[in-house]
Amino acid sequence: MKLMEKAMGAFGRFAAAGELDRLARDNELLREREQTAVTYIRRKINQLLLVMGTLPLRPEELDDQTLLELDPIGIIADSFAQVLDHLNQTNDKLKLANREIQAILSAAGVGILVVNSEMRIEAFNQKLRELFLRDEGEIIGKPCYELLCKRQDPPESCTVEKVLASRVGAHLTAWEFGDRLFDVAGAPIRNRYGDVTNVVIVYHDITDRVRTEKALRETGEMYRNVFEHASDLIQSVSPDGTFNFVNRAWRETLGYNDAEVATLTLSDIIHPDHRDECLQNFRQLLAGARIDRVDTVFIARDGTPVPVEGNVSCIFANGSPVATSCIFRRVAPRV
Amino acid sequence: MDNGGQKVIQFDIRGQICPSTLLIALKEMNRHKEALRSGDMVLLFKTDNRDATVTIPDAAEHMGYGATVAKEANYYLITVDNGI
Repeated sequence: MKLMEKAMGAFGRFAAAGELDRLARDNELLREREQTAVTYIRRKINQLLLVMGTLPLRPEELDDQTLLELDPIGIIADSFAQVLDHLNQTNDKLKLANREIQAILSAAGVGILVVNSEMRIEAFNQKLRELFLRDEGEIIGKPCYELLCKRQDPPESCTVEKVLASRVGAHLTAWEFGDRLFDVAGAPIRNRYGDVTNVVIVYHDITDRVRTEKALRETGEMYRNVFEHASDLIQSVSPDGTFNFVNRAWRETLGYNDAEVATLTLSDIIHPDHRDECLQNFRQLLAGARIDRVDTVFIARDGTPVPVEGNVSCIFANGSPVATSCIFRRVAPRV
Repeated sequence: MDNGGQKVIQFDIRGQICPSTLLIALKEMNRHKEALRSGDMVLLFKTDNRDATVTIPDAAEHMGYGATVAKEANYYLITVDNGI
């Protein structure tokens, strides 16, 4: 019996020793697994920290227990959620802004072109295609000087080159394209470092305006020529009484040259006996009164009285008098 | 601390270095995001870690907040608000 008990005791000790060995092995395995997991977590945390733009964790900075308690992955994940929310909101705002810009570009009555720093086209509006590129196919990415200036290199007066070189706006008047004339204005688009990445060019068709101005100039010259050679005394007087224009007959009759006329005022050429009445008429004319006929007496440079009669009128702009226009004929002195 | 109806919470994280300074700031920005977004709260971080004067404002701005850095006598004061 005692022999049996001894055998059982020995077996029990043997079994316990085996269990301890197994537990020790399991414990070692679990430690290795934990270490592997912690190493993985640190690697992923460092990866996320680098994405956030900061330094990796140093092992001495956070021990494994504190690392799990602080939960850096959870913190960064929550931050990323906020970053994504913000990006989504920013994207929505950008989409809206883009739609607004497209609507403005479409509605604009001028041609608008956006090129990059290599002068290649990045964007344009419908008006630009109508003005210059009706028959062109795909134009994005092509150099603007090839399509618009029809050259292999930028021209000497290139607005885009001026903007890129000066980094400020540039302006070119009367740029010719076919039989049309354009006012060309360029403005830089800068990145956050101040470098010019793009240039916006606006083409305003001024052909009709230039033609109208030319016609007006020619008409003006014609009338000036007619007035200059008329036998009547013709004058245009500003509201302050100075002379805008007098014709040759006026100068010859009253004895003043152009330089002297520039120093005169209306009261200087009116005979003292008629000055008050004449200036009263002038003020009424400026105030909007209609005065069809004027009889008065001018006084020449040498003091000779010059009786005249004539018609006067006043030109108004936006409700304000700009100048009086008067045509006088010399008449015989009244007895 | 109360600043004209706006709650101000100040964190003194002097002595901490990166990335701990950023993690602490991120944790507080996450914790108080609703109040920060509505403008009801402003967070102030006192730090003597120069790197944090870049990492914290950068992260705050990426998250849609406003951030400013002021140099004080012996620390930097980083202010995080809703940026409006």
